[in-house]
Amino acid sequence: MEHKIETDFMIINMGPQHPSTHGVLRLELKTDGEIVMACRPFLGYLHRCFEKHCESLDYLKIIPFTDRMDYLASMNNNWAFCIAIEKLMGIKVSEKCEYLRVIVGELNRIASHIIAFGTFGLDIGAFTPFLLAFIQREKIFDLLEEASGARMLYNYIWVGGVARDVDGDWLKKTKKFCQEFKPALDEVDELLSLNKIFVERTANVGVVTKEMAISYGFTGPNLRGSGVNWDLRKNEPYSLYTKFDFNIPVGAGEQGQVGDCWDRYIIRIRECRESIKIIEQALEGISLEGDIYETVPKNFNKMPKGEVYARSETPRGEMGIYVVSEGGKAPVPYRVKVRSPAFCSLSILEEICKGVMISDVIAILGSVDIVLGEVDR
Amino acid sequence: MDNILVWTMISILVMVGLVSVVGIISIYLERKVSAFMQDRLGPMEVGFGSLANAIIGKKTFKEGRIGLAQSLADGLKLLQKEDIVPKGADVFLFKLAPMIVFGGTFAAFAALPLAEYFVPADINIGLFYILAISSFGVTGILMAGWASNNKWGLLGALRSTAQMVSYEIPIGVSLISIVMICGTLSLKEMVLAQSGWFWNWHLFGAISHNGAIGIVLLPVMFINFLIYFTCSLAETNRAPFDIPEAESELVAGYHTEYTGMRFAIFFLAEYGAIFVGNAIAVTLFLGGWNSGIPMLDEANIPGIAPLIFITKVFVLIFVVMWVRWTLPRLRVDQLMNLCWKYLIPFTLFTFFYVTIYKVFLT
Amino acid sequence: MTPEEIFDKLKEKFGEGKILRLTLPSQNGFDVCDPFIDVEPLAMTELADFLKHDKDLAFDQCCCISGVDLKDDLQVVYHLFSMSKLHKICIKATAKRDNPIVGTTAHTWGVANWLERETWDMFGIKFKDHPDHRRILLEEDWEGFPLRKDYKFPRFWRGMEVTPEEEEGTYGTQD
Repeated sequence: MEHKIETDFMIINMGPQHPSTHGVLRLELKTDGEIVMACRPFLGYLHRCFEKHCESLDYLKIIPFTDRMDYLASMNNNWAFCIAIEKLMGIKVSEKCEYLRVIVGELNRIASHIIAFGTFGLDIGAFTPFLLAFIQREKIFDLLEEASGARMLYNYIWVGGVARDVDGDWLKKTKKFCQEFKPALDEVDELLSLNKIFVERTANVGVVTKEMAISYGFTGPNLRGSGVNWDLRKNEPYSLYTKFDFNIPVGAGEQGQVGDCWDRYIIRIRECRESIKIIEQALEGISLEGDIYETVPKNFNKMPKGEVYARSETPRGEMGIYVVSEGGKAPVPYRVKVRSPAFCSLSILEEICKGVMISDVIAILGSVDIVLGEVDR
Repeated sequence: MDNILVWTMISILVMVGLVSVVGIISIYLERKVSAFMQDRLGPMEVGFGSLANAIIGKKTFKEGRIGLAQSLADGLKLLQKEDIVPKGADVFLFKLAPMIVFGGTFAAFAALPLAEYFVPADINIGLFYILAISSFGVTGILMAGWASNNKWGLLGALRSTAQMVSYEIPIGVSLISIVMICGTLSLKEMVLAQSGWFWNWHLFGAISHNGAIGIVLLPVMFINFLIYFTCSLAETNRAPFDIPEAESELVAGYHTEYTGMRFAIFFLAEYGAIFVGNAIAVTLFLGGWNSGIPMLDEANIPGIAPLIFITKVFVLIFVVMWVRWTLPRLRVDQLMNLCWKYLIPFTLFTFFYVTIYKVFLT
Repeated sequence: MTPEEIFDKLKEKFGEGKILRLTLPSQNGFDVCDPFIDVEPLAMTELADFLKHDKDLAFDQCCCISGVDLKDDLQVVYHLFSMSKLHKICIKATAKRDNPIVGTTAHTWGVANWLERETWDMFGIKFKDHPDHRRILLEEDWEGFPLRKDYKFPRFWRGMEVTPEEEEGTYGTQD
């Protein structure tokens, strides 16, 4: 008698409580042994109705809510929202405020990238670079705390200005941090980037081609990792970014194909160096004269009727804020939509997680660098 | 007859003590070493003094600042934890698994030659016994993964089995070279053959056996040692080969569902296995209890031989930790590649090299 | 290309019936806005295909798809950008409130898949021929579409109290 042996696919739930889903993402993996046949992401575990809340809040009161979207880069979220409202109201912000925004924004970008490549290393199994980088992140938090009063959720950048002024001492400390950060980043870089095992694990894994990246809404470091030279700070400059001299690192497939996990990882390390460059130039250029509340609107009673879509470069990519205003006396927006970069980047997961191994899913997820607070909003 | 019984009892007691002490010291060391590598301080609150104060509820003793009693406190904490058996688990296997894993490791301790006068079980096939009994643990791991009714646990157990079965081969072949040189499987005799100056250690060839010509084995012995060391990392599920319990992938692998003392036993067994693995390396390659300087060995200081042995083992354990906190983790297919495509061919090469040496040069 | 040129090109290709009108800043009652084109909702699928693959338009990036509740109608707003030509346009498809159906663009832009699912989830706008038409942020059995202006928060969901009694009726009503 002949026995027919049948094998079955195993359905595994990765998350919502899983160390490597960076929050509360659930992936339903259909696996054949170690090989993932299909991967279906389920979101919404952190959904807090941000957009609904916005419809009943004053414009200024929305800013603390934006902190809670991408909680690793709150400054950039504040900033993105303020750009949209300023565009709507036609406010031109004073140069001092713009300098301050650039400095805190870039500091926050570094802090966010530290989490990105640190936890990516952690996902691959390298623990030490993560903690070494965290020492630097603490320093950034100390600086931002001194400027804004909070360590993670700042509510610092306001429509038309910033919340608190800084003094010369703070600028000196920031300058000192820039000096200390460079060797510390080099240390992490040396420890991780060209490590043979790390390269084996990340090169040629999760390759996203140029066309795919654009079609699936990759932006920011992910898009540049796929070899597209695109950065809103350079290509569609806002604030003072035209004044600074910095480069846009682009993935070149140094260890494998263009657009693999290693490329996305190294872009973030290199971007940290560029951010330091920007901060140093901004520290040179800033003058402490002037009032930071000069252009802050007293109230929002005279909003124009209209709509804007403003986008800016956050550490995770292009954050677009679409605001519809009814105009007249209504001090609340009619509709706010956030185009969250992590949400869009995550949508590619289903596509590139076919036929890879379980460990690769972790690597891909880590390299795309999502923050669930922003995905679910 | 009575003598043997008493001796056996003493040996068992000493070994039970050794297993727990080794576990506790290794765990403490792991924390401090990792902290040292990562610019942290590591445990520094729970000294023996503060532990005693916490137990009696008064501030009587001086509180330390280097956290010596951290592992002990953790053990106490784990003892108090609820013992959870998941729904749908195979209860018998679930409870048996930690015992088997621990039993395998503990049994391996029996044949370790701590000193010439202290080999708890001096059997003439010591090496064979240790290899056999320590790979017994994989049964327990498979059992744990299967019985806990958890898919991550099962995946971890399957990975672990594949890994351990594969890495047994290079371990075995690399150790056979030593067996060929010594002509014995008894660990005690192997160590005795390496007495005298440190160049008599098998790491540097077979000088003690065949005189100066033994130096031609130096390169292959180095390779053998490195391969053995790498494989023992894999055997004990240590980074970069810790894929069975890869915490960022499989949550905790085969012991995902274990809590409290059962988890602690897995933990202790893991560190016990690391000790055994490195103890074999010390015994076979690094001269066992010999200090490498004949004058020191002949001085007959009481208790120095086991001390030297354990010190050597802990130096290797330090290296194991060093590797863990430096390197990322391999993927499961890369792990298999490494074993079958690189390590096994290399060990086979060294095996033939030693064979030719043995046949034609001695 | 300027918005006018894009509008003319689309009109030439699809005709007046599908491409309704172009609004420039400070026109049609808007003080501030990006130039946008109103289109027929069901034409969106072929329109998207043309917008992406036409050599002159080449809108390869779909920045954002947002739903807007216009009280009488429901609107889907597409913000498109061309990375090669460096021009952008905003497309608006307005559908009837009682049966809102818009042609899907998920086959054209990968990211549109999830963005349209989000719009369905929040506004209940159906996308014709969408490959994976499920809710995304909310549970599959959630009732109602939260971002509609007339949405009332439920008091219970699956037996769990989701809105405290004293706060019932205070959410979602801005007037």
